[in-house]
Parts: sequence; C-alpha cells; structure tokens
Amino acid sequence: MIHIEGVEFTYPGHAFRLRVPRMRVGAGERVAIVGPSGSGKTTLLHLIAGILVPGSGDVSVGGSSLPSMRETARRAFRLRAMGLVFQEFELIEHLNVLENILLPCRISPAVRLTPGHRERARSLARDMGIERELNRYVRRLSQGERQRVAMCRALVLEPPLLLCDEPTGNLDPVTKEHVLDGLFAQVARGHTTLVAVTHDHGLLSRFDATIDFTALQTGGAP
Amino acid sequence: MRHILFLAWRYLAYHPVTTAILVGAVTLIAYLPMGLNILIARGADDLTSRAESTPLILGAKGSPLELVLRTLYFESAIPEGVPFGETGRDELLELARAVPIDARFRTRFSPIVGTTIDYFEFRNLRVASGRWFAMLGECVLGSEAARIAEAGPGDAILSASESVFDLAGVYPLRMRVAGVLEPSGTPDDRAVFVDIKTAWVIAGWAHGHAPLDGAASAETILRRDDREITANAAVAQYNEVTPGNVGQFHFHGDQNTFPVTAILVVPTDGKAATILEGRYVGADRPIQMVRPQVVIGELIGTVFTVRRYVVMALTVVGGATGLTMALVFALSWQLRRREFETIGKIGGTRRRIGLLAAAEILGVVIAGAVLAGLLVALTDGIAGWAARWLVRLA
Repeated sequence: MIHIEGVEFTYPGHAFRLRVPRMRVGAGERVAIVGPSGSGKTTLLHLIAGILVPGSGDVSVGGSSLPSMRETARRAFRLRAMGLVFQEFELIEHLNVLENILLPCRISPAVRLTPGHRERARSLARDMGIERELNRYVRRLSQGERQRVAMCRALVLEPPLLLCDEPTGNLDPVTKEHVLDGLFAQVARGHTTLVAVTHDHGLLSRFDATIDFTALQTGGAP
Repeated sequence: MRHILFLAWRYLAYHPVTTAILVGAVTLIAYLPMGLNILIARGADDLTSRAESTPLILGAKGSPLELVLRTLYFESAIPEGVPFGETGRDELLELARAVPIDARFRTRFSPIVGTTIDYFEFRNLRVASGRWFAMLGECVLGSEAARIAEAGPGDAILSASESVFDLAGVYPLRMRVAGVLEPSGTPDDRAVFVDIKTAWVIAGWAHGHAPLDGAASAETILRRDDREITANAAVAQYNEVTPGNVGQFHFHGDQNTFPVTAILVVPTDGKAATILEGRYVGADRPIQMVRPQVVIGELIGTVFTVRRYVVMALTVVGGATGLTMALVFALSWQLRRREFETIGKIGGTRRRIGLLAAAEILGVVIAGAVLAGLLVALTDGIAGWAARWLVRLA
C-alpha cells in the first residue's frame, strides 16, 4: 500500500533533516509509528499524505507516486485515497458535527456530495456514539467527542488508507479506549490500511506492526 | 459552487454581529449617495414643477426665497406681509389676475391658506366632496389635510392657538368644513383653504360680539339693567362664525391695508409678465415681484452644489470604510489560516479555498447591496416628501 524509497526531506531554512531509506506498509495492515518527540513522525505522515513533497526519493501510495503528481492532482488523490486525523482534530468551528463530517465532500470537484455520503456520515456517527450530537457546534463537544468527529470526517469517503497523528494524545484513559474501539472497528470493517503516529506504548498491542521511527531513519525498519 | 456558498453562509451565519456590521457598512456605502441623489433629484423636480406653474409672485421686500417657499409650499419662515390693496392696483390688473395668499396660520397639523376662489381655478383644483367655501368661517380641506384631521364636509376643525398664554390674544377659530379637494399631488393637498377674510378673522382683525340677550347666555350675565348688561369674564376657548352670529362680525380698519403673505400674479401672456416685472423693479413701495422659477432655480443650484460636496465626502468615507472592511477580512483570514490549511490538508483545492474566502466577501457585499436596493426603493417611494424636506432645509 505504502512504499517509501530513499526519501530525504528538509524544511527550508531549518537544520532538521528527515531521511527514510525504505518503508513498506501492506494493504489492510495496521501500523503504529513510535519515536521520540520532535523526531519527524508527523513530517513522515505528511510526506505519506502528499502534504509535503520530499527533496529526493519516492513516496507511493497504492502504486501512485506522490512526488511526481502536480499539486492539484495530489490534493485530489489525497482526498479520495486517504483519511487524515490530526493531533489537534482541526475541526471547523462554525460548522456543526454533521457538516464537519461531510466537509471532505464539499471542498473539491474530485468528490460530489451525495445522499450516500450523508447516510455514511450518519452511520459513522452512530457507530462512534455521537449520533445525538450531529446538529451541535463542535465547540460544545468534549475532547473525546471531537476526536470521534475528526475520525468520522477522515472515514466518510471510505478511504483505503487512514493516517492518524496521535489519535488519543488529548484523551483521558476511559475515553481513549472508547475512541480506539470505534476507530479499529471501522478500520476492520473497511479493510482500511492504518498508519498511526503515537507516543502511547499501551496502544501498540492493537496494531499489527510497530515501526521504531529512529530505526526507520537508519534503514533498520521495514 | 453551491458548496462554497454553503460554507461561506455557515461562516457568516455563525458570526451574526460581525456580519451584520459589515453588511450595514456596505449598505450605507452604497445607499447614502444613491438615496441622497434620489431625494434631491425628486425634490428638485417637485420644486421646479411647482415653481414653473406659478408665473409671478408679488410680496414684501425681503428674502425672495422665503417669499416663494411660503407662497408655494406654505412652509419656511413667514415673510413680511404685503398690503391687500396691491391686488386692486390698475398697473397690475390691466396685465394680470391677482390672487391673494395669506399663509401665516396653521391648524394643529396643516397650514391654513387664506385666498379667493380664483386660487382653485388657477391651480386647477376640484372639490371631491362637499362644496367650495361660501361663508365666513368655512374651509375646504386638501385631501391629505382631510385624512390627517379625519374630517369631512360638515365637520369642524380649529385653527392653532397663536398665543396660548396671552389671555388678551386671538382665540382659535372653529371652522366648518365645506368640502374636501381631490388629491393633486402638490402641497395644496396638505393645506386648509379659507376665504381671505376668514384668515383675517383668525388674525384678529375681524371679530363678532357674543349676544347676551338670549336665554343661552343667562349663566354668563352678572348684572342687567335697562341700559347695560354686564357679563362675567369667562374665557371662550375659541371663536366661531355661525349663521346666527355672522352678521355680528365686522372688520376694523381699511381692508386694503391688511397684510397678506403674497399675491400670486397670473399675467395674460409672457409680454405682460415682462412688463410687470419691469414695473415693480423700481416700485416706490417696499414690495418686490419675483419669478418663482428663477428663485427655485438658484435654490436648486445651491442644493446641487452642496450635494456634490456631500457625495465627495461620502465617497471618501466609503473608501475608508471599504479599506477598513478589507482589513477586517484580511485579519479574519489571518486568524483562520489554520482552518484553510486544514481544508488544504484534507484535499481541498486552492481554487475552492480562494473561492470560499471570496464568497464570504461576496455574500456580505450582495446582502449589503440588496439592502441598499431596498432602501433606495423605499426612498423612491417616499421621495414625494423630498420637496418638503428641501423646503424645510432651505
């Protein structure tokens, strides 16, 4: 599903340098990436998503090379092929829960909002236990509810790949378990490939594989 | 595009106060110059048409503008009076018709215009119900005046008290309504017309004597002997001319010396008008003859000049407001940069993000423009008041 080969990336004007000689994630796999803070895990997720483009090397998702795509095509590809869950949720304050979940259906000509999407959004909200909150503004929700809204938004277009950045970083232990139960149930149902960056070693048992980010950078990981 | 509009609408609706302020600013920027232009243009049209339909006005020396405005609109300051006797001078009557106008008094809501039947003929006014005034103390109401006073033929209305705290002053006159005029779309609609002599009764130059020998007046009599009847000092609240006391009313002094506000002069033709103007240029009396068209033309010229400056000022204020709005939007986008970045990270196109920002501005501008359009339509609807507004402004 994901092939990374010889990727190097630097932020302009920064000394930080990310180097990933090789990384493979198979379709339907659930992979956790662990590593110290500031080591570049989020940057790697952004490279996989095509939000960032490497200075050299190749990142391909589902056989499509992201660096060789034009910006517009890469955005359209990302919208159709990937769901993203951000560490800070990044929900839109002036939209209610349902509108936030359906946001990916409104922001690009690559996707048309259909009644099927609406039904999918309601179904996801039901599965995640937030169906009663659909008409509420997100600022009125708890952290756990917001995280679930962010996950529903990432899954609404049924992407084959789900990228999560610290999906439980802001949650208390009880909420965390509820959220993860919902997330893994959806992933299993859709045979979705899951790549999650996490600090929480307690979560690792839920994943098929764990990538040590430090080892990954030295070529010691798959 | 509908999704962009939807998202823009949701943002604007989520911030109703900010949106309302921005829409209000756009509305004012758009409306003020247009509304002002409409009011002034319509006002100028009304003023001009009224002035064009009045060939000449004879009045006392003083402000020609006040004389014209009071004579045509029954508004503005009351000019010095001109003797009624001027209406009968040969030098005038051989070339024109003279119609006296006494427009000093008011009812509670409307101006009272003392004149003669000739005025109605000159202005082409017709009675819609009732008849013309025929007796001292009767009045004919303009259509608007009748509506405001809720009065019709057979009712009575009072002139406004001129000196409430002066017990020796002139009492209001209770006037019987003889008829109501058809609407004419002119200031005549708002006036209460009386015979010129009735206006003089209101002015206190004519009066009657209350009969004390009837049974009805028994309560007011303090003492009676063969030679004299003494009544108490009960204050009458108003005067009234009735068929019973009309014979008692009489004028003190020479009526030719009674002042009227102005005399409408209707020359037989253009040449007569020119000759008359020449005659009155060097008159040995404190009088003047003016062409309303010229006087109103000067007024409108002044108003248009003021309008130009006001529109210039509004343009500058509008520009500053526009820049402030641009700053508000720029700051808003700065604050929402993360939101736009998120949309981009999810897969939103740059074009849609740009359109979203533009749609929010467009939404505000369109809402402001629609409101401004409604206000313009409203202004157009009430522009009939514009002439009165201009007259009061003058």
